[in-house]
Amino acid sequence: MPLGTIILIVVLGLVYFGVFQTTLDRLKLTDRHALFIIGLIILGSFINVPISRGLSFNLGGIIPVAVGIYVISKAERNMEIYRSLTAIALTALIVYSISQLLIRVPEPGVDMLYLNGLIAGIIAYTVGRSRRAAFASGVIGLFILDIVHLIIQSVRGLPATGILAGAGAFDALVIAGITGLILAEIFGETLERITNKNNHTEFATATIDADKRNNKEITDKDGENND
Amino acid sequence: MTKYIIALVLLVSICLLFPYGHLSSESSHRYDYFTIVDEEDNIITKTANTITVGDIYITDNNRQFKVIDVKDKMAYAEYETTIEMEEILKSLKSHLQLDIAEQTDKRPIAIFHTHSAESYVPSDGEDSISPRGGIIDVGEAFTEFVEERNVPAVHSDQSHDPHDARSYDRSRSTAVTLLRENNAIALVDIHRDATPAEEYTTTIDDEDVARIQLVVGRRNADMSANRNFALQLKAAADDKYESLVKGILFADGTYNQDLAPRSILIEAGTHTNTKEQAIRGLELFVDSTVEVMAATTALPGEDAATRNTALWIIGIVTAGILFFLILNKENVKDFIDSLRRRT
Repeated sequence: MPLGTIILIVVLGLVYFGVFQTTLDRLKLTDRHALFIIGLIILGSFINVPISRGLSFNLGGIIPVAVGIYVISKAERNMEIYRSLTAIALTALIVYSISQLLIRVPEPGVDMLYLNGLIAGIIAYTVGRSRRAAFASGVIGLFILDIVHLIIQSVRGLPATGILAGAGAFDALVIAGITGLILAEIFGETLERITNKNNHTEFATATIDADKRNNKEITDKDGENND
Repeated sequence: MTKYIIALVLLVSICLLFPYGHLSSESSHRYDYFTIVDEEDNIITKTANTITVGDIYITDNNRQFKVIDVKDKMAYAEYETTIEMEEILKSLKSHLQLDIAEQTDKRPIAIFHTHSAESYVPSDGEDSISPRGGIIDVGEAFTEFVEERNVPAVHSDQSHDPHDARSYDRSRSTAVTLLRENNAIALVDIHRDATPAEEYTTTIDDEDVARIQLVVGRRNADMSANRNFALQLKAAADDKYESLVKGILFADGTYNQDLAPRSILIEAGTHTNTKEQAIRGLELFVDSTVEVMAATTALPGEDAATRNTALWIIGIVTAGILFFLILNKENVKDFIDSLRRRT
């Protein structure tokens, strides 16, 4: 089964069971939004949109880029936006540098498919300090590299053809974005739990708020209704 | 804000020290191949694929070795087992007989080249030609050989240059598009190795032929399916042309083989073989293995691999839930209440 499919199914499962509630809240998304976006990515993977002769983009692969731009735009402070943009640029630059350092080796022995997401997650958490930066770094960072690749090929007189984000739901940029987000979440949650002993209510609050938004009745520990 | 801009400018400047690609009329690739030896320092194989600890190599006589140490370009391996290729062949033959009896329409085999600039020095003049290397001609020949045997085939000559660590990210788009648009049954990524010619040259039916090496990425969730497929291909090839397949390398990568259980990376000779030798080797390979590649029903072991992947997914989701419960153990009751409302 393709890696992208495995990751999407795992994310679907975690979203459905509410495990990703805190993450989605920070991305200003509900679990319904997340499920809808995943559905769009899968359906969009079957649609290629032509740009010019020999060049097109895959809708399913581009949707995560649009989501990445959206989540950054929802940042509450300008500094968070600047940090996110820095994280995106750094991810693109470091992925590019690693791939070029290994250019002399016929079979590099480094699998960028996993490394992209690892780089995005680490940079975004240390520089961007946010989950939204982690997702955006992986997705937009790699998309920028694909655009730069086409420009360089064109400048060199080589054919700039292909399909941007052509693997759709299985594309490297989708995998990078989601794995970057999951890694930042694991780092973030673990560090926050270790360093913040009073942070007992964050998960509960996020879950209760999410249920309120979904118009479900909830009960507190004493069994009374809370609207 | 100013310090961010300065930091970015510095980083861009540093990264520009790595010029994009090294494609020129003279090759800039250093072909320092790896040599794998056994416990008695007998050479098992030579290959330009990067060898790491944990890699596995199955030789032409089906002895399986595992790499336990790598120093510079020397890899030291220990013998693990001998693959019962006769058993694999027996199971495969009875399965293929049932497949023929079913007479179902065959789905196409998809062929592409991640390293699309690879070429053969004696025939092409250089070892790397962008955007269209000699390997594309070899792929076209492979496609024709498949179609001559009444199996549909589709070939992509899409360039994925430069030959850097992101080549497989770029070819992933090509591979997915081939699978999606053609409902392909098998995915074949044709490359060539970079070793001395004698490593890959043999004689079959009085003709010089470039041998074939199969490569499987051992980082895929579907690795067992890819492994089964590679063993079945070798079993079928050995049955007809004993010295054609020089071995199977299980290397530390994915090579986009997670995209289909019947995915394989084929090294068609080396850069010091002639293109004609490589084409001849592939013709013999197709002749002996096309029925395996194109089998309309699941090959032995294919379904089990899919079930294993499903179990992995359930395991990861369960682990994710447990992880968050451990981090939020005060709120287990709230989480369970939330679960009840969702289900």
